[in-house]
Amino acid sequence: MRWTSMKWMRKTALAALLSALLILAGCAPREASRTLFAMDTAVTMTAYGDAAEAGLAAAGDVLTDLEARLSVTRADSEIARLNERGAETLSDTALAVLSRALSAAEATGGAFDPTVYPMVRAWGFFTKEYRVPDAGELDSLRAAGTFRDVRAEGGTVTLAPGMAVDLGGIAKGYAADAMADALGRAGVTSAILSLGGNVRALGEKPDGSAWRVGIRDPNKPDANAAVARIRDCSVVTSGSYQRFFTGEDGTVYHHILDPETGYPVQNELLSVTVFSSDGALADAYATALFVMGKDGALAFWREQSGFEVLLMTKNGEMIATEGLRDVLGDVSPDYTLVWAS
Amino acid sequence: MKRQAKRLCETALLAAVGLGIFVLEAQLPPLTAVPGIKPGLANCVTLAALYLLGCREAAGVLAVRILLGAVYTGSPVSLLYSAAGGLACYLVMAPLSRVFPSRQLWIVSVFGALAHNAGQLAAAAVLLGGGAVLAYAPALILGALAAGTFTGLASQAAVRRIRKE
Amino acid sequence: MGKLKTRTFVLLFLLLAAVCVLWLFLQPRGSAQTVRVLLDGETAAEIDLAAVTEPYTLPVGEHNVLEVTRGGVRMLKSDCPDGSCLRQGTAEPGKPVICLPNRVVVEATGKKASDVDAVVG
Repeated sequence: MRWTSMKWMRKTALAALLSALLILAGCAPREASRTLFAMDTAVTMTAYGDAAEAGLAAAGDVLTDLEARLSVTRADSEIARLNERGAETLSDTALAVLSRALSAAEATGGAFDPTVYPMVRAWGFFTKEYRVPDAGELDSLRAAGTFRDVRAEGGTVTLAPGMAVDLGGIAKGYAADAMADALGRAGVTSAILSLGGNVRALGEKPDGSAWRVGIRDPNKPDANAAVARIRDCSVVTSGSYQRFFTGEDGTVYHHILDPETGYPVQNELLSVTVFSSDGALADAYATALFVMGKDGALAFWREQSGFEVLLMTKNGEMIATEGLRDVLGDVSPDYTLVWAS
Repeated sequence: MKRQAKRLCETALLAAVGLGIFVLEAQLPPLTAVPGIKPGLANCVTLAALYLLGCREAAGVLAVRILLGAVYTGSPVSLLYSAAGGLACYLVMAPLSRVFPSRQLWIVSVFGALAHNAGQLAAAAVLLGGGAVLAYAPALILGALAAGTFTGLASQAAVRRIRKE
Repeated sequence: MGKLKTRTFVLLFLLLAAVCVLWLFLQPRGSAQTVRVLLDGETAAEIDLAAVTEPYTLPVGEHNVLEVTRGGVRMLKSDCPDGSCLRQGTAEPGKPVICLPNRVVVEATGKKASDVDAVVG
């Protein structure tokens, strides 16, 4: 009698447990999200659908691999070794990113230049031990060479003495594309990646609507100046407010340096946002267009294709290019929207 | 008179044991990240007092433990949680201890533990102002079931041994 | 009233345990989007995680300090005696971080404060 009652009890407990598990399985999430730290920023990936988990794992691997090859702060990365030795045989992956960086430099006439790295380092933007280098120091760093002095023969890349490259200005955008490809190969058709504010949308939202990407207000850290509705697109912002320090003389120095002078760019712009299906291009051009200034950036947009631009200026203008007419919305009343054509 | 003195002595003794266990337990590292999940070993003593001495004495044992326990281990806020839990626990266990015989003492203990955690949760909800703490409810109930069974069985063994059952 | 059977109560407790396990599993999960910080029952801060670009620390009252990153919010410092809030990890939907002695609640929801999927800038 005792035994039977025990058995009955066990059955009840088992049934309760089984039903709990069943309900759990029924609620399996169709959304998967992951945050990791790479390329000096927090990377958030969100994917939808049955392949979401597998896709995120693959995308994460792609990111980790690129980081290990390209990081200037990791002594054993291919780029760190190239900078250390002045010559290095690069893997196809690293070579591909470098050649994208060099062609972006070529296209922008050097407004984007991966060889500004020694100057950025001189300002302390990597170590966060900020200082104002004197003009002589910047000149001599500049004199070592520009992107035109990077020689690539076969897989071997050679730098002029004193030069160093940093692909950080294009790596996040490149990684976003590579991660989106990895997600696509895993069968994911809907995902959004955010690499420290460098956003890449894969497909559209699961409900068929466009992704909504907030564009941060340079003057208000927690507010959006506008919202962009995008599908299969990268959005990258370069802004003087992103990293800066105040020197002993009271001047504010930000991290976007003019490759010509080695000093922070001084113009009417607060931020440049570039939209493109090519993430690497968007990343590099966001910096380049900031360096070019308002008129230079718009002139460059008119003569090139494959991207759209949103500029925010110090006098409260938000200048958007034609192609953004169906993209841009929710513009903050603090800005005057101006269309450029 | 002699009988009364003996009872007072026994009550004081149990209160001291309860306080000792309580202070000792407070020194242990927390079992889980959820606050409030703990063995609650001092409740053994309250239970024993209920069965061996009576409701009034048990109330005394509990009150001494809560008040002096706060002096030794905690802050005014923790006294509040302690009191809310202890009161709820007592209000449930005292009548139940008259219904269940000593061989079912552990059942009283489980109900007491559940009431204790419910009381603390209610106090937290009032103090923190909001339902966020309710997220802890299932974990706290599970904790109460486990801790209540354990301390109940321990107390049951002690009571039955002392009564020479 | 007949004799109270031990078996009845064993079953009752098992059932309660099963319900709680179920309850735990059914709690809303997924990643946090918005985090609300309550001090003494009053909203002290509301954070849209998508808008966090650089990690920062956020003092709450005089006794607690939170660490805010894009991935979530956790308790960094607290002077409470047991320090259990420091071990509760990151606040997630259905899993708040609570410091009872200092009356701080860090509540995460999967709902976005603003209706954007990501933020650039």
